[in-house]
Amino acid sequence: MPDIVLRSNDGADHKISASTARLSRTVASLLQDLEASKGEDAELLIVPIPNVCNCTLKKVLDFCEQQRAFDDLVRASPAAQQPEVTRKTQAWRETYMKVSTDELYHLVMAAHYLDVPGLLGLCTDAMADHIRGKSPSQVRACFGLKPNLSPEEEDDIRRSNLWALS
Amino acid sequence: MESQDTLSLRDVRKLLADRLGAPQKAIDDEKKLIASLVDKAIQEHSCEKQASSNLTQQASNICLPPEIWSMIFQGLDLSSGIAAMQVCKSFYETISSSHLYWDPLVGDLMTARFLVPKDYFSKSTFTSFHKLVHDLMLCRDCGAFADWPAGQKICKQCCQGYDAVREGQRYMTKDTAKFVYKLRDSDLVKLRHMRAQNPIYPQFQPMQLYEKIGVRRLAIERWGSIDSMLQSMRPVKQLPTDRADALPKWAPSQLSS
Repeated sequence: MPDIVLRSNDGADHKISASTARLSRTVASLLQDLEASKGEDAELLIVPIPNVCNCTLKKVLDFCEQQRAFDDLVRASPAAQQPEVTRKTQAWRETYMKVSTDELYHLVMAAHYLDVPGLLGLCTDAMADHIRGKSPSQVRACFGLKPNLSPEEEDDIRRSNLWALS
Repeated sequence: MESQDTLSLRDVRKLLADRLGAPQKAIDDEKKLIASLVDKAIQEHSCEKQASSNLTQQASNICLPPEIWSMIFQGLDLSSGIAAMQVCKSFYETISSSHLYWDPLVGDLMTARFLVPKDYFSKSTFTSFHKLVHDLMLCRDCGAFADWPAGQKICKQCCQGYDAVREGQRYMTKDTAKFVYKLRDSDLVKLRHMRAQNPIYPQFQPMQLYEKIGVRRLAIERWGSIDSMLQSMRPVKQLPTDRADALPKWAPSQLSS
């Protein structure tokens, strides 16, 4: 299978193997359509990814490659070593997810657009970590949101849910 | 593609050391190569910096599609979820409209509060909490959500309905099981049962409720089939003909003893 090139919206190219690219369902379906119409062609494909910037695409491809490597490892290693492999994956993911909120936001959007299943779950978990244990104003500051609830509504929510917070 | 022709600094040094004895032209080529590499590295670095500054500008307004927000909220515990509801309108709408956590059921959780351990709320996620509420708040028999004293497993209507065998019941009392399916106490020992307060006389022994399906299966096992069960009567003491009319036709206590 030939390699393909993913081009981010600021024009940077990333060359990866087609099997890695297929981890993204969006790219996979695109490749499938292409193969159906053209047949197997050996020339280098350039896939433009219009709403993902260079750094984010790099990060996503990082994940795809690592995920592929781990998948291969899991398939190759005997059953006794499986826990070891999963532990390694976990550790890698933890370091991978140490990013700022902005980066995380772009990563979520990219994962959603490219439809990388594992990555999306990982990102939403990390997002939930950002919200957990914070007051509403802290969450607003974290995500740069503007409060648009009226004081009465806010009071109403707080009062109707008082029982859970006591 | 960039990553392939980028050399690390050590590779460059090694190349230089190898070529030290080479003619001047080769060394010049090397220097040019290094210069281009350095230029490229600087360019890349600045490009990345620019991109990350773009990110901070955009982060002032994070807007994700609601389906992603609801995925995020799924991982939250109850109190964080309630705090998140107060953040802004879209958060509130996403959380309150998501059937996953806010069933009409969960709306009446005042009761659940007395049934679960106090620290449960801080530990649980919405989803597992929802499941727990289902377990605690629903009638085990009819599945209705009703008001009842804490600790009871069956709703009032079901509780009072066990004196007769009704359609759609999932449980039956021990006496009914013994009477209808002609079983003995020793047969019923195998089955699991549930205890519930006697609805008529609270001070009496609690009702023992058996699952209908289980009892039916047991009866088929015991009698071979329901038909043969219906045909085979327990040997009842032969009564003198003149006294037979005086007795009630079906007296469960006589039959089962």
